[in-house]
Amino acid sequence: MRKRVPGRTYLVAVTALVAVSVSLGLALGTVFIPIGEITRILKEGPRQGDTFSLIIWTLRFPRVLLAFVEGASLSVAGVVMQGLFRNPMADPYVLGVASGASLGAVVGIVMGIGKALGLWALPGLAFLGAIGSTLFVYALSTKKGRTDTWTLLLSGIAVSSLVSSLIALIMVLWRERVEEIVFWTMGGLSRASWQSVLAAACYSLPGMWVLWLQARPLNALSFGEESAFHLGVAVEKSKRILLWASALITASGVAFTGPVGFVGLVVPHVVRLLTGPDHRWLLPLSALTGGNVLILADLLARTLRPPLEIPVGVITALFGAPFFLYLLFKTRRSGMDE
Amino acid sequence: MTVGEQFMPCGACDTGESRVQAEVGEIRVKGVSFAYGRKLVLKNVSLDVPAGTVAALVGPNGAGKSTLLKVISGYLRPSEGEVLVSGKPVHRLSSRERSRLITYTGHEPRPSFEFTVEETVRMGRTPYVRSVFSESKEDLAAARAAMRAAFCEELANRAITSLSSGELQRVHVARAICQDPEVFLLDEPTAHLDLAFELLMMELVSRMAQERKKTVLAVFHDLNLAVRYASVLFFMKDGSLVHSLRPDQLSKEIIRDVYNVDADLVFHPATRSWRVVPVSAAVRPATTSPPARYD
Repeated sequence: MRKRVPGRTYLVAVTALVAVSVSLGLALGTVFIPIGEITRILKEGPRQGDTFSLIIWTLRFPRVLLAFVEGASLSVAGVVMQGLFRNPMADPYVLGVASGASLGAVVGIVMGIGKALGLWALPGLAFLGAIGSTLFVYALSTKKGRTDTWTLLLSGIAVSSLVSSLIALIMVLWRERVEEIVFWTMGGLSRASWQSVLAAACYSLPGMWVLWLQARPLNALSFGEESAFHLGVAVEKSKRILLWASALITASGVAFTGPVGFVGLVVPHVVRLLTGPDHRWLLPLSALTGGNVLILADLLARTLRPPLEIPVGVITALFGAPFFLYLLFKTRRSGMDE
Repeated sequence: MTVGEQFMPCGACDTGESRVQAEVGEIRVKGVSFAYGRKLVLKNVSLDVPAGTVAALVGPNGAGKSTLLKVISGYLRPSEGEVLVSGKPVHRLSSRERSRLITYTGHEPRPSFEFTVEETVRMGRTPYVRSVFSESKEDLAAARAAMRAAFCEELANRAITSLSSGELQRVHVARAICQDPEVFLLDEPTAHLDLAFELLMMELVSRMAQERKKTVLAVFHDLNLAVRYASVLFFMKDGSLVHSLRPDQLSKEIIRDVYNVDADLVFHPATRSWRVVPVSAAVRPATTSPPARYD
């Protein structure tokens, strides 16, 4: 058996990496700010009239934090969906959960709810869309507790295309809102503010905590629902908690950053490969790794061609899509879904 | 009263709650029926297994043996009747309480992730652990002991995805032992094992019953294994319990009645048990269980 990195070692390493990435995220951009300056600014707190202080406190810091929270959310949602569907190809985007969340958010934008109720309402609507598509895909692809890879992927594709056309339809019917919708679906973290960091954290952190408490049932569920039942897991209750909480954190991710694909697919895979499939470690370690990955992806997005900003979803897709194809072929070769 | 009578289907001889005190580990199945959709798979089955017994469920393919085992385990809910284990109604217990009382091991799907054998066996402690994160020293020791007992200690660090069917079966039994219940429900516990492990596994099962007072109810495909190791045989046919008897009460007539096979019974002195030697298959009447599969 391949040697695993012990959970503790990985935890220390990834925490150090997060510290490095956060520092890079604060230092780099159209203007370079030296580390010494950053520590001074962080110590002093926000100060009027200081340009560096302004950049750090109103632009980069909330942005880095939002990237971290959303990267963590998407990765944790990916871990849970892969565990629940007993299928390494599952993730919030592949399954169409994120598309459902997008539809919810777009409906919110069109109805002006985002403006009227502020940042807090958008994730709520995204959540309705996410849970709707989760339950739909789950019902379509799972028979007697077994999930067939191809049915799962196809249901996900079907839901995603349905949602895309619905969003297109909404854009045609409400032309005056097109600009707002397009801006939102382009994704990215450029609209990050302290308010959005706070809102995202309020949705995501409790969601992730609830999911971590389900780590043991999730381990047992990897052996099939019947085995989990005999091991003393309240299967239906656990499944409900896992589905709803993962839809919630996906919705939070989608509402604040727009579509950012493949993080939830790739990160759980790599972490599982390195440290093993035990969800008690896999969930927190994937959260830290995913947060780190999205900070770095966002850093690339805004520093590759300054002052232009590439949508962060483009960056993650460029790295993630080949990985997805690799997995798909590997699954087919090993006949894993037989 | 002979033992044979004692194990007769007890629907008629028992009137509900007459017995107040139940022994720990005793199984009582009372008038259980079960249907998959509109197909009636179990028809008013009643049986008793006293604590500390190895009992065998035998019968032709499609007789309802596995379904009965799953109903007793609590996984399937009977349309009629009830199941009591240690006097407690299985289908009304909490998940935790039920899984401390009963374990079930049968045909499981292959695991999708690379857990090690030791991690898998430790999951048997799920009904006991309190903390989300860590197991107690006792839990870890229990897992070690269970692996030793079920002959898979040397597999401890192997990935569960890399095991052969026989190795996987031993791991499942180890996990069941680690769960430390009063009742073991085993669906063909030796199906994938070679001759040596088959014997070792059956000796283990006997010891569990004799020394630790555990109750074992197992489905056997191999009638000879059942006759040698079980102290009571339950014969099922077409969803009904048709005979309950001790191995030494087995007769050619019963085998013919249940399996439609002419067989000889030969006493084997070394194992001190009867061997069933099938001689020829009688023509199967069209009304009995589904046709045998030739795959």
